[in-house]
Amino acid sequence: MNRSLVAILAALGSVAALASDWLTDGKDPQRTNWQKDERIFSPANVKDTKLLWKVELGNEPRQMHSLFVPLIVERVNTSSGPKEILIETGVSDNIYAIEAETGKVLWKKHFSSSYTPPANARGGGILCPGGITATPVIAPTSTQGKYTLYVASWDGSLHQLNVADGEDIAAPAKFMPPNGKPYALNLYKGALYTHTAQGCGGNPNMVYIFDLATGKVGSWGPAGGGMWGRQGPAIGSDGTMYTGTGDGNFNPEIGAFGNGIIGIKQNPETKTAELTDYYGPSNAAWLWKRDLDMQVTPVIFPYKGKELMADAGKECRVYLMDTGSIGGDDHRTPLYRTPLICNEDVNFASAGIWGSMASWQDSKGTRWVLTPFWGAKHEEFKAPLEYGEVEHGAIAAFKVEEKSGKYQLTSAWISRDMNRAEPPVIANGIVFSYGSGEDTDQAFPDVGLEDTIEHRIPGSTHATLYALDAETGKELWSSGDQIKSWNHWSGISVANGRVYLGTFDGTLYCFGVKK
Amino acid sequence: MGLCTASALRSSALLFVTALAWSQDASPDRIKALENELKQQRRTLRDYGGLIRYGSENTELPPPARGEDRVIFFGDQITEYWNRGRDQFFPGKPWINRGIAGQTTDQMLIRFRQDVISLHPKVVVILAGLNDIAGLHGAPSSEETILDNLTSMAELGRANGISVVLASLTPICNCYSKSGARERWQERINELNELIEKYCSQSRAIFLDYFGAMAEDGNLKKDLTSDGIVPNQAGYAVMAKLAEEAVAQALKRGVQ
Repeated sequence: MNRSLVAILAALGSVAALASDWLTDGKDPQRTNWQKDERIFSPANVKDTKLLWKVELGNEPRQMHSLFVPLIVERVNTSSGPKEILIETGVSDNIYAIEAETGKVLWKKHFSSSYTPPANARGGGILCPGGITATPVIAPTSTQGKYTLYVASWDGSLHQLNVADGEDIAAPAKFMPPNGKPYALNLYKGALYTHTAQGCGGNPNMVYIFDLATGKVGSWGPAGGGMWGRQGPAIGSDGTMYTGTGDGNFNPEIGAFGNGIIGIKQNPETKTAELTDYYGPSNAAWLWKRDLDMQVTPVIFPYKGKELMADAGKECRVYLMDTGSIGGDDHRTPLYRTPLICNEDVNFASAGIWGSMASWQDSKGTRWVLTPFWGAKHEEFKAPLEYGEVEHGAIAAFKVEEKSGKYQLTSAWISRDMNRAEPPVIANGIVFSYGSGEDTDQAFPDVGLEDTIEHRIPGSTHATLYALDAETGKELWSSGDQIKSWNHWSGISVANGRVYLGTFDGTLYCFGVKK
Repeated sequence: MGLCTASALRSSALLFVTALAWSQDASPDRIKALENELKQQRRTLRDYGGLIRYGSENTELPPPARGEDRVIFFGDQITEYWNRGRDQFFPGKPWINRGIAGQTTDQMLIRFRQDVISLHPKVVVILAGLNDIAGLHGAPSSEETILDNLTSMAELGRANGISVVLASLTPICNCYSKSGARERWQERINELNELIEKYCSQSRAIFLDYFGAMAEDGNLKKDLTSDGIVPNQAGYAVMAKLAEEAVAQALKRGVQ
């Protein structure tokens, strides 16, 4: 190989290394929500963030669902040259490829289905909207600039599409039963991971692992307790996927793992899914009694030679665990458990921690864990830095610390009030987050329990995006009232000086700073 | 949320608006105070029985060990504040404090299953009724109504194999402030204590007479309290000795 070619390849390698992508919900298999490769946004310029474009995609909402987290590939080779492409997923079985620079729709794919739900199957309602419910995942191929998009459609099929043009690159394959409710796909070492919840379509709540090399699917169920971490499972360095479980009995002796956290691993020989670890909070019975699901996607990160994980639930505590043994010898003892951050009233619907966690490491080596929460801050929970009364939700930031061999989460800051604070993203010293504006109440004084769109959609307002200083939580910028609609069960992604957010009315917003 | 609760919430909101409209002092501070009051009322309505207070903690308690003589002290602020500022409640004994300040007997009845029966004690010591007499929720209860609630708790306890100790109300005094209301309460405390003692004699519940040991001329001895209602450390020391004797008696007797 001559020196010129080596130089060119080195340069290409540098470009690839600088590529700022968002290929999976939560940014990476560990669901850190940390955009390490951001070079354009900075705490100094984020105040100049503007609405760069918005596009109405025409996706028909189902129940409260509409658009999911946009995925981002910085450099895709297309027939008209390299482009930065967003992949936006609409619940009505739609996939959109959008040019990041302009907001122009490059292609659209609709998965038609002749599937008819059987009678008596659980379907409909806010919890079971049908359609695509899992954010897809993208993987690079062996050809530079060529990427594959993996999507689970409503009929339970796995589709593999070319990101450049939306064409199928493999025949659809059976992934899971139809009409279920899978959560964001995760891809790790040749296997796709997801889990389901709510018993939608009459299907049991299961973990599914699709082995791309063999097409074999492994599955495992916690026997009670759907798994509804919004960003799907998080995956540790040894390939174990972790997720919280929803309402259900926690009694490992009878194989019931509700209101806990489970670790599932693919058997390398048989490709089956096997339970390898589990944790049940010491008050799991209370959580079950009061509908306080452990329904949050965990975050996994390295810390002083260990691999740690943080997770949470509606009760509004954050748990710190060692993936070597997430609940210790008795499966009930995490490394650390915070006091209650919110949800003093034990509200099962409009308070607590929902969605997913986040983690990043600053230039001084301090490891941070962030959580969103809904509702008012607990009166007894304090942070050194706070920004006014929190009534509707906020982001809470903690530093991971080890003192005399004991690990802890030390409260660092609590953000300003946000109307239903949603999972944050960290990018180059900035925390981006948003208040969804969604009416999350499920019980009303006049009619009692009534979790329907007729009650909740009229009560929803509009989303507001915020940029915060990652070390202090101070507000640096907000979108104010520029976003006209709200969203449910969605999220943001960030790359290359732009932050994206889809709303219920089918609009995708792009805010950013000039490069 | 029950419709009664919804109705009560609406009433609270209406009261709030009315109070604002009629208030001659609609200052931001006044509005904030009313908002806080409304918030507190809502919280009470949503969790009238106070199930949140110990609900999570209860599920973290292991069942009693073999041979363990678990005892629950159940009541209001007089019970809750027993070990305030100190780490342990009756050190060395498997005795558990389940007092909630400000509660009336109807509230306690709601949480009796969660905070007593579900913890499988051998004995429950119930000290309750003062806040009912004080009309803490805006309407005083009659002594008979209070006794009905105490009787229900006692019957629930016995039906679940728990020996019941019913305590007399502790005395109060005007030693630190002059209050006409407290003078009226004192008469009713005496009446209720007579009813409790009578019920115990008829039901084989054990009567624990705090009042007799802590009163002088019908008033709470000044050196046993710092505010005229809640005992101080010396007051709790008197109570502790009596409680230990009553529990020992209950454990010996068992449920009959």
